[in-house]
Amino acid sequence: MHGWATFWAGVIIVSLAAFTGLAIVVTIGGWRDLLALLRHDSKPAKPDRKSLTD
Amino acid sequence: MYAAQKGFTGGLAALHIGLIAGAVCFLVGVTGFIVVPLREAGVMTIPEFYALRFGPGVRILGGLLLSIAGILNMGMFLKAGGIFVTALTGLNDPAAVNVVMAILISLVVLYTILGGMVSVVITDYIQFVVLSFGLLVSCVYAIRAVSWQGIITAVESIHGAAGFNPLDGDGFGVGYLIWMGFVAGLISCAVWPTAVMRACAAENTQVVKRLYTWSSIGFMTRFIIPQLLGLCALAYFHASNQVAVSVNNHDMTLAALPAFLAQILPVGVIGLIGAGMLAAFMSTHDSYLLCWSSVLVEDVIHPVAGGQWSTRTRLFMVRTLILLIGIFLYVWSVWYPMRQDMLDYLAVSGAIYFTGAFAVLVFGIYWKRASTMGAYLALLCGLLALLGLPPVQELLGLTQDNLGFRLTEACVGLGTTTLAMVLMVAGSLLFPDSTRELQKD
Repeated sequence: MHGWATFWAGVIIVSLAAFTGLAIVVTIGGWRDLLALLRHDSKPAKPDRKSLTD
Repeated sequence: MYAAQKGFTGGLAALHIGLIAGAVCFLVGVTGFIVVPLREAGVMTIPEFYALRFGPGVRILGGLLLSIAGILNMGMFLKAGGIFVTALTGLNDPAAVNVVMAILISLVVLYTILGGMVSVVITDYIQFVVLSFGLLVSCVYAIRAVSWQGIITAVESIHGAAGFNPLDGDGFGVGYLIWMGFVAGLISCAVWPTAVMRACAAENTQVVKRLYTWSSIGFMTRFIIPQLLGLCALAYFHASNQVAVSVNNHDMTLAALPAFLAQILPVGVIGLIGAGMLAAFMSTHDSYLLCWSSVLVEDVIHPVAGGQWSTRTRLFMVRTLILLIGIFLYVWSVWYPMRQDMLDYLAVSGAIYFTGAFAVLVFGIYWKRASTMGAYLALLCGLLALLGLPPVQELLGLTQDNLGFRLTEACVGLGTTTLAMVLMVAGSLLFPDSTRELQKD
C-alpha cells in the first residue's frame, strides 16, 4: 500500500505542476484570443456578409 | 464535482481515471486515431461524417441518438449545481435544492437564448480563469487542513487496500480500468462531439495531432485535481467521524466537496470558488444546450422537414428547443433517483450514443466494406447501454438478487460496445451497400 501511496503522491505533484503551467498559459493566450474576437465582432458587417453573431 | 465524488468514494485508486485519460489522449495525439481521418474528411460534426459515409438516414438516426444521450447526460448537471450551491452556503432545507435548481436553469436558458455563441466564448474564458486559480488556492488550503498522512489514514481505514490499488477487485478492478480508459480517455477526446469539433476546426492534421498531444495534460488534471479535493474531504470528515454515514449515499458524497470547502476556506476564497463553480455551471450548460439543440435542428428536424428552412426559422427552432430542454432538465433533476456515482451516470447515459458511434466511426473510417445497414444496427445497439442505469435494472428485474451478480456499468458499457462492433461487421457483411453506392463513395 505504501508503494501505491508514494506513486499517487508523485502523480498528484506532477498534476499540480502541470495544471499550474496550463492555467497560466491558457489565461494569457485566451485573453489575447478573446480581445481579437471582440474586436472582430465589433466591426460593422459588410453589406454582403452577415455578422458571426447574427 | 463528479470527479471529486469519485475521489471521495474510491480513495487514491480513483486517481487512475485521470492518469489513464491523459495517457489515452496523448496516444490519440501521437497516432491521430479517428481524429485525423475526420479532419481529412473535411466535416465539422460527426453526423456530417455519417451522411458523407453512409447517407442521410444514418445522419438523422445518429443525430437523434446523440441528442438523446447528450440531454440525458447533462440531466444531472443541474442537480450537481443545486447541491453545490446549497452545501457551500449551508442551506440545509432539502427543498432548497429544487429552488436553487429552478433559479439556475432559468438564468442559463435565458442568457443562452439571448446571448448565443459570443456568450459561450466569454463565459468559457471567465470560467476557466476563475475556476483554475480558485482550484489551485483550494488545493493549498485543503492539503493544509488534512495533511498527506491524514489522507492515507482515511483511505486505509475506509477503503482498505482497494483504496490504493485500482486493480483490486474489491474496489475498481480491471474491468472498470478498461471502461474508464475507453470512456474518460478515448471517447471523451476522440468521439464526444464537443471534443471532436476542436479537431474538425483545426487548421490541418499536424495541428490536430499537436492539439491532442498537449490536451492530454488537461485531460489528466481535470480529473486528478478535483479528485485530490475529494480525497481531502474524505480525510477531513473521517477525522471528525462523519464519513461512515455518508460514503454510500450518492447525494451526500456529491455534497461532500462543497461542504468541506465551506468549512476550510476563508471568507473571500469561498466566494471565489462559488463564483468559479457557477461560471463553470453556466458555461457547461450553455455549450451543451447550444450543441444538442443545434444537432437536433440541423441533423434531425431540418433534414426530415425537407431541408428548405431559412436561417431565421432554424434559429427560432434552436431557441425553442433550448427552452424545452431547460424545462426537461429541471423535471429530470427533481424526478430521477440518483443511485450511482455521477461519473458512472455520465458514462452510462453517454454510452447510448458513443458505444454505437465508436463502432460506426472506426469501421466507417478504417473499413471500406462498412455498410449503411451495419451503421444502423450499431447505432441502435447503443440503446442497450440504458441497462447500466440502476432504475432501469430494477424495472427489468436485472438486480443482483435475480442475476446472482451485479450488472456493473463497466460490464454493460463494454458489452454494448463489443456488441455494436459485432453488429457493424455482421450487418456490413450480410447487407453490403450496393455497387452504385460504393462507387459513389
